[in-house]
Amino acid sequence: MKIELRLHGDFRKYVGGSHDTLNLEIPDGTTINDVLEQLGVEDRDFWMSAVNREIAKREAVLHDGDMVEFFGPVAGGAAFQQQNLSRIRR
Amino acid sequence: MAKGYTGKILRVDLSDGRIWTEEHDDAFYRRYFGGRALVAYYLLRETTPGTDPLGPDNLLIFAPGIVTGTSVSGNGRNGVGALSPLTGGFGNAEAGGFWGAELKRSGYDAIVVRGKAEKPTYLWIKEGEAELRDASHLWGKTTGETEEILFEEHNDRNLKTCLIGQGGENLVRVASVINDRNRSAGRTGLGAVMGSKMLKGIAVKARGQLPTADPKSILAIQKWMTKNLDLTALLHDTGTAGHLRSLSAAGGLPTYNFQEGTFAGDDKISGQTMRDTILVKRETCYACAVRCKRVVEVKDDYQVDPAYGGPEYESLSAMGNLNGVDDLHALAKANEMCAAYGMDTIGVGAVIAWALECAEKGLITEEDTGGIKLEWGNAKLLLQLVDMIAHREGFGDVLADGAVRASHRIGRGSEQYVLAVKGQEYPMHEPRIKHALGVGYAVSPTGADHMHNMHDTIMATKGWAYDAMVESYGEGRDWETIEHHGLDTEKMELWYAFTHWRHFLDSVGMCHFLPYSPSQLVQLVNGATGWDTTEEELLEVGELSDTLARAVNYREGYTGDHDHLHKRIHGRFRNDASSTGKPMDLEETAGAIKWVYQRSGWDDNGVPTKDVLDRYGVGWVYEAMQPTEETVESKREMVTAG
Repeated sequence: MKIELRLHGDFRKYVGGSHDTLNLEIPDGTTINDVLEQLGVEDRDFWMSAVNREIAKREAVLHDGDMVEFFGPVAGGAAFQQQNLSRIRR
Repeated sequence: MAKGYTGKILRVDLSDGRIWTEEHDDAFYRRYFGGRALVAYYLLRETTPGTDPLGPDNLLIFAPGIVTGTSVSGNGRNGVGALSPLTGGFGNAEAGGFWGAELKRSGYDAIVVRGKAEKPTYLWIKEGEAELRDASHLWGKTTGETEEILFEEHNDRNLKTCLIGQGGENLVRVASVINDRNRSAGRTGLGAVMGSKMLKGIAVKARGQLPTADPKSILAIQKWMTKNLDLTALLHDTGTAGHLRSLSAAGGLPTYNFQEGTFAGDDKISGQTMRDTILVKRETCYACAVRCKRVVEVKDDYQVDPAYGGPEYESLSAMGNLNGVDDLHALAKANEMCAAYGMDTIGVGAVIAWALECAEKGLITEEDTGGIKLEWGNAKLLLQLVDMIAHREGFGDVLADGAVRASHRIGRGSEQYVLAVKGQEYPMHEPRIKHALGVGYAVSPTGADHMHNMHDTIMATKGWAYDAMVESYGEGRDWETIEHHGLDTEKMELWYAFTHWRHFLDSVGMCHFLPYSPSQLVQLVNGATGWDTTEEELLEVGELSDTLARAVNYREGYTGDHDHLHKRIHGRFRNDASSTGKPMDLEETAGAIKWVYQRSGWDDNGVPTKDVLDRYGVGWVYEAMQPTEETVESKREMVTAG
């Protein structure tokens, strides 16, 4: 079955490039957690998910044609972009 | 020899046409730096209690900072300040672009303007030489029209401008000061101060670079930034509006005047949709590699000129979801109009949303509006009202004074739908998904503000921002309990450090969007000046600027009574649909505000104590900040109904 995955936040390291919309082919019974695991998304980068614009739990089972969204932590219009300082100290 | 700062402040008296230079010693700069702290210094030193913000005795101060013009990414900031005609207290706003760096390179750390010209005037600073010129031919024109005429007159498209449009000229209390045609020192109504002085603008053309103490050290940071642009890639890609849908999904996108937290039309007006449809270019500020600015063009249903840039998150949100409008092209047009007329997109959006809710509740009728039907989600109505506000035309004249005054004029209980602190309307961040930010709204010296504040949701996971915060501020503390709801002491300590770091950035001319660590800022400041500052010293500059700004407010009659949030924030969303929003507990909020006072060295009413002023080496402020009966009385009506 097919889902459309929209990414809001910094997921580019998991999916490459600047894509924020992916079309995925997944087996029946796949959960949001399964998709996260498959992409290798770490907990620290993932805040919440929505399916067809409703907030959904990670255990939620997906269906054919679902529009799934992943959100990273946000600050709205005033983003505090300070990154892990260990990068700076290298 | 002064480096990073020039040691010279340009003084202008528009009443008698005098221009002179004021010099301060190194100790002055080491104490006040620039930006916010410098604005507060001058307001306390040279204005008296109860000075009319729209009168000749108000000062209008243009203050970049020590790092402005040092050619490192993020250094392109300029601050503007005055007594605010919107709040009647401390007025201050920042903008990016190129003008601030041009002023520093011209040999000035700031411009302090007092008085009022007899006819429209502009200040022209060419290679450091300043003169006042007639601006009668510029008055009544948009910022873009004005800039074009100035380019022609001086035969130079590379001079930099800082202007007002019709908004400032018409003393609209939510008017802004616009530099480089599309950068807005938006909040607190500073455009009206400039208009009240008959000052149309300041045009600057510099020559040469700004000397710094250790250019190699600054260059090293610039090189680091250009190698680490992946840290700001999202900002570059979609701009600040890239978060609009996320906030809506979290149930924290201010909708229908903060009645709801999710907007059905969010995807239509998001940064991603803007990028995929009307974005034609990404622009930047002086020497900045991030390139986060939007440039949009619309040529069909509306004509939107790319010379006016493009909308940021606050603009799309305040004029969009706050008012139920989901038409991106119309919002791009509204943004263009605010740049052209010189108005704060947040203030304009917020006052319109107040009016729309009042109409929804039957408190404002077509009799009040001269036959105009006020309704949510009407893009053409939005554009019509923006135009009317700029020209103070019809019902626009009511709205032009901001929501608090408009509600006093209308009465009938309309005051209860004003969401503002100290007379400044809430920006587009819902405190019910960001509780510490809510406290920040209540205590901010400029009224409700999202920039010198912390956004709880950035620590919604123990991700990169959390790590960075812990490394920067977390020594010896346990940050395990950070949630975006709640106001426990650990979170408030984080809020305190973060917020005062931002106050510092606003006093040194550095943009908030750069991923520099505190130690990198130390390197930048020391590299510019040759000083030996530390992270602790820089944070203290932030604390000082907040305390000085609060002292200005205290003098003008503001006390702890004014530091509170609207009851809506302590209640549930209208449709209860907010997915993560939780009301702020009234008592917990009041307790956190008192904690902030104590932590800041202020008394139980939020008044700076003599001890804390002495500790900062500004004991003179104690006498200077004393209010009068009149100023205290003047702020009684600014306690908003909510």
